[in-house]
Amino acid sequence: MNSPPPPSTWRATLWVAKKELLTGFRDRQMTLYAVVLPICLYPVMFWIMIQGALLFQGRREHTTVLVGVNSDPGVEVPAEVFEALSYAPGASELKESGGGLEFVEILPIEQSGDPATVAREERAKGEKHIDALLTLRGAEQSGVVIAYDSTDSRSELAAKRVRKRMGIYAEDTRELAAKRGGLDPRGLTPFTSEDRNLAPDKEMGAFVLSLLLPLLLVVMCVMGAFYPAVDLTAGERERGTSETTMILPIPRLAVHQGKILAVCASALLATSLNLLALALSASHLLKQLGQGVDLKIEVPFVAFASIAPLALLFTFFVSAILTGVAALAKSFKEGQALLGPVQMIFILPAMTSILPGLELTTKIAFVPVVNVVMAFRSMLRGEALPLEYTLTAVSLLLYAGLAILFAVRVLSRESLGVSNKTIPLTRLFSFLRSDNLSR
Amino acid sequence: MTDLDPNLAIEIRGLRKTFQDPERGTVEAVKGVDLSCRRGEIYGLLGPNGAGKTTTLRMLASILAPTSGSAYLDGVDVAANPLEVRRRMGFLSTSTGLYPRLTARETLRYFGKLHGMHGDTLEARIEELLVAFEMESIADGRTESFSTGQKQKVSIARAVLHDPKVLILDEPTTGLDILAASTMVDFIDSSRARGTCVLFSTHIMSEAERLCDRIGIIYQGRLLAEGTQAELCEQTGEKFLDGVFMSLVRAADKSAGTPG
Amino acid sequence: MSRHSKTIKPWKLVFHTELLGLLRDRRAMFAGLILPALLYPFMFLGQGWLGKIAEETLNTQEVHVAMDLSAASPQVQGRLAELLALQIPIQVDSLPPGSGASIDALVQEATPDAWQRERELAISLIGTDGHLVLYAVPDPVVADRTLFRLHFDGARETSREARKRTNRALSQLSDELRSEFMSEQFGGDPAQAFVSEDLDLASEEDLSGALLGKLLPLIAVLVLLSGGSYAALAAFAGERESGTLETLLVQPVESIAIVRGKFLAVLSTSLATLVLNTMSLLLCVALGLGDLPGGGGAAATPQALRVLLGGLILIPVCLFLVSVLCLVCGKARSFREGQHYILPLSLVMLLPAAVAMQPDVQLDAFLACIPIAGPALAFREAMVGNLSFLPGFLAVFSTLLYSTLVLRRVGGLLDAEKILGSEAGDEELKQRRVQSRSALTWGWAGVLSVYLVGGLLQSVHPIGGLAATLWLLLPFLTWACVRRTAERSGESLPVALGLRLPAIHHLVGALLAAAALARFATVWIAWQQKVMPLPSSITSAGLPTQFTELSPLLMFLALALSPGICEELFFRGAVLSGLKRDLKAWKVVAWQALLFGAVHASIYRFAPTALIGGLAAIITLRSRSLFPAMLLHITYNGVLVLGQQTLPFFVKDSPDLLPSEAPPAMTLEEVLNLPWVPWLAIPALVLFAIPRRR
Repeated sequence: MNSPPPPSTWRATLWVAKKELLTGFRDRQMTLYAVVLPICLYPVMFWIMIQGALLFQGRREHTTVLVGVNSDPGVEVPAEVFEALSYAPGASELKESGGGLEFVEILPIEQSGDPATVAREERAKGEKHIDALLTLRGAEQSGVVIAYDSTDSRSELAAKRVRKRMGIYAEDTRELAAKRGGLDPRGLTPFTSEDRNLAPDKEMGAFVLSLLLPLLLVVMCVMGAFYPAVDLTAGERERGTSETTMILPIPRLAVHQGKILAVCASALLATSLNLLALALSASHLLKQLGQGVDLKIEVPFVAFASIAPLALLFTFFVSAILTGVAALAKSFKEGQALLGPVQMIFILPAMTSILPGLELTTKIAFVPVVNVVMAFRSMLRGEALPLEYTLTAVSLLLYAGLAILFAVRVLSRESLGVSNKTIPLTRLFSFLRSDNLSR
Repeated sequence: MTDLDPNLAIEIRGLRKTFQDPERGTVEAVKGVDLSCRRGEIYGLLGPNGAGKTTTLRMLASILAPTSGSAYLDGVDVAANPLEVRRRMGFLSTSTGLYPRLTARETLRYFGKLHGMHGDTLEARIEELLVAFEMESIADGRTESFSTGQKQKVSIARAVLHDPKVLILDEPTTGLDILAASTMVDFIDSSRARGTCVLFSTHIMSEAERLCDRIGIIYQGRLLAEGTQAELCEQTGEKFLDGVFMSLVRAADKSAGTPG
Repeated sequence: MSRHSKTIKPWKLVFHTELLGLLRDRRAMFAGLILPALLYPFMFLGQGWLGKIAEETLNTQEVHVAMDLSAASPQVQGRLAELLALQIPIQVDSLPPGSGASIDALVQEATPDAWQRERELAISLIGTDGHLVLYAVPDPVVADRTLFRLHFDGARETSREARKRTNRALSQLSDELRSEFMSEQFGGDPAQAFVSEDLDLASEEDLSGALLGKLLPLIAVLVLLSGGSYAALAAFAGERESGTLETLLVQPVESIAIVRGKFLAVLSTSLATLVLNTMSLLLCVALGLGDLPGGGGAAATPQALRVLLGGLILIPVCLFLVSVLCLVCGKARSFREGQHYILPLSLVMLLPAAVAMQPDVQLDAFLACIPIAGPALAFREAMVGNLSFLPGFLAVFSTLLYSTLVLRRVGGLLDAEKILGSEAGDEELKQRRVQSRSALTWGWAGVLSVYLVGGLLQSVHPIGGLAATLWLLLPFLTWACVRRTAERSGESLPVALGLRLPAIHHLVGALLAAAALARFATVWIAWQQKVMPLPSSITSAGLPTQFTELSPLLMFLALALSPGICEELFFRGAVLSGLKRDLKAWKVVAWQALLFGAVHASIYRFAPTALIGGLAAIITLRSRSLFPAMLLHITYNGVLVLGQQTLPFFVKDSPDLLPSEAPPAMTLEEVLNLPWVPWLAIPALVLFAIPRRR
């Protein structure tokens, strides 16, 4: 009787990957972490942040600050100053909101002297004390002093309001003086200036995204590969299910490659779900903040399409390294401890993406991780750098290949199956050199 | 109070345990078990998986609270005074693990102190057990580096540390290799000489045949029969224990299948 | 024999052993103590370092500015060129005169097509190496004034930098010209007496205290959770995994003593991590390795007394955080499962701690009671010496209270009945409360999808989006949720939803309750405005104009009738029918209130909507029909929507009225404010006390 021909390595790889994915996502924990959590976490976080921002905005607007006003001896405080201070910008909104918008209450203070001393004394007074002190100086040192405590939020708020109102008042005074002297008040504003942004909304959105997204993508990808990598290697060892896969009549290489493929697929899935949830929650939830958020972010689909191949290669690179390292651990717990520092290897270089000024050059195209974030950034900004992109892709392909080679080498060590100890990272190289391969 | 026989180390009366299950309604894991063991007696609870052995033993060991019925261990009501019960018994099951980062000696010391032992008395007792179980050489090694047999010895020593009157063993040999299992069997056998009452559950007939003074057969939450091996054989007309077991189970299935 | 027969308390013993186990675990030590102690200072300092590098790279980058200043006076041209030259490194290229005017013409046209051509022209003027174009034109608004306009590319960093430098030169020029004008015309600034100058009263100590006060709560949360998570997992989930739990439970000690010992072990590990971490951070700063973010070199140590007070406030926070950590890790059945909970937990805990970073948030009695946020603010205030007694006391007291509540639940973690009982029949745990679990899952899924999908739809089209949410999304969710419940109980869908004829007196009761509820809501909202006033961005936004333009009837349909029917179908119909099968009535009501408050997605509306949700749930449970709750909801919403409509039966009794004049009718809102309205709650209560006839 003829036995059926053995499946090709590639086909077997796909089978193994499929089985690993299936069992992985049948595990409730894994599904919860990879699917449900990202979808729920972002909206909830955004919601809390937005509601918090609104709550604090409302409370700030309705805080009435008490400002003391005094002057150096011999200086009279003009009635206009009191008027200017109690004027509330946005007074029309006052009625609607039930009163108390950015309100300043004024307390005239008889005592004069060094503003700092007076302010300290007044602020030390019992229950209701002033939040800031406005002092009109005498002839020699003309001007007003706003004494406040920058470490006290009420006091800082009071100073902010007083500063703004005194600024408006001073400008009004100048214009009035000009009018009285029969002068053209335009002299006070010698010229105007206007800035016009040439970048359309879409490009601006892409620019903002290019500052955040590359790092975020790397973090999401590493986090997405983390659990599957540990689960499929160390976790399998812990559960004792690795033998079942090892006795399959297919080449070992297929088993190892299948695992890496499964880890990669889970990482991709987690990353895309994260992105989706982020996009869903960020775009329209920001509108709840009302006015003040003018930024229009459109999803640059073309840029996303160009990112995809590089992202895929990068995911392979990350998954293979994480899988290889996690395979050294004997249990899920140890695997996690082992991967903790390793994931930093990816995330720290990715921090360079927030550096302005750095650009993708032919040299940087060969620096792992940095090349990817730089390429992401350039692509999102729509910069056309065909040579650099190609070099990045080629080097990524190389690194991914090396990483897979590394992972397969680690996974195929015989002693991994026998030993019940975790191999420390420091012994990784001697381990790879010395040990027998299992076939 | 109740009329307790002072010769009985364990007395279980009408013990029931039900779990609530919205899908299948109320599930009765144990449906009224009466059982008693004399001091110094080895009693084997025989039954297939899911028969209610573990639940019964756990209720006796005060880990689970019975739905109804009562259990007395060394004359102490389990429901009323669980702490006193725990002081008087040793409990061991196959799933019992050890703290990987403590040494054998530290493990024994920890549990000894939890039992209220201390000072020289405790140290002397530990030393005694280490010698008895031939563990002097490994006493200061961490348990994570031990073989299954060595771990089993530590677990046994832990269970008998406070010299309990009653030992409750839940499938003590399941999953052990031959050497470790024989350590266990020898240990159970030797406790008869010390006058300790042992109640253990198993589904290995040969073990029960070899060790037990009396055997109880439990199936689907009920105690089908109880007695010495000879009594059971006589009762069913079978020659060996597995035959006894099978005929009892068949009879039980039959009466459950045909109402009335 | 020693004199005390039981010298060592069990919890001490457990505590000691747990610590010993942790200390011997090299990885635990590394992950819990060494890593955080090294990592966070490294991150903080690294961030500052990266920022510095970024700033330097930008500062040394040369920018190219193309200019056509021909429309400005020669004097201004010269001065601006001088000032621009100071913005090193900058390269100025002159454009032919008139290029400014040509682009200005396109700007003035202000059509989308002109905007395209303006862009193209500007880009061609900037050139391939350039970054910005600047030109002068006459100001179109004010005669005889020059307008400097610059075009830049906001999506390019160098162009943004060029804009920054150019604007700097322009503002310097403006200042110079302005002060020249004033000194020529007035002999100085006429408002000289009102030019303000800041005087900060805060001392060095205050500033460094403020800095620590802002940072430490955040660090505390990060470090306690990451440092303590390993210990907590090892103590609770790890015990189950290694199979030692059963042994521990048959020891003659109370399980609460075991839990206490474990909790203390986790607490001391996390505290050790925190202390180590803070010390390494402060040491780095003291050694001058780097600055704290936003530090600006404030190096003075804050007063010992303040640090002491701050410590007193921080300790309950640590207690709270660790008890939450223990609770979460204790619920996990394996190390792996527990690990999954840590990240979301940390994120959720970080948010309130970050409140202390907001300089304009003030502590008061209300904020003090918010977990973590309250004590974080109190800590900040204590570090600058501004803490007043009441908020400080409330912050500590409330945190202690929350910790006690959590700890009580932690105490129940090692309940053998739950752990081993479920192991005995793993099936059993899965089956337990399956209906209420699935109902709750659907309930939250509903909340989330209304929030996300509904929100998205309504941002596209307010009325259409609302209609789609109410009449498509909610009915679908209702069907999906109730399908399983009905299947399990063998009921038809309408019966499972509670769509059966109600008792008439319950309908009347719902109507009366709605009126009383509406009155209560107005009182509540007036009170709420004092504690958490609405911000202007919400008050000015109001209802979308598309709604306010509707006729009263349509408005009633859209905002009262539809929500009343669809929301009740889902929440009081589908979700409630699942919940009530496994849970006690008060729990059902509490879940209903929480879900219904959450679905309205605004803290300002949470309390009133939660109240409606709870009340509607009570009514539904009592009348065993969904219709009274629907009536309550529709009436309540209707009153709010149609508040300005006049009611003919009620007339204002006004003393100024002439006998011949007909008294004016009252609006619905005014009727609600009549003194007898709250008393309607009593007949409503009586009516619901009468059971439904069988």
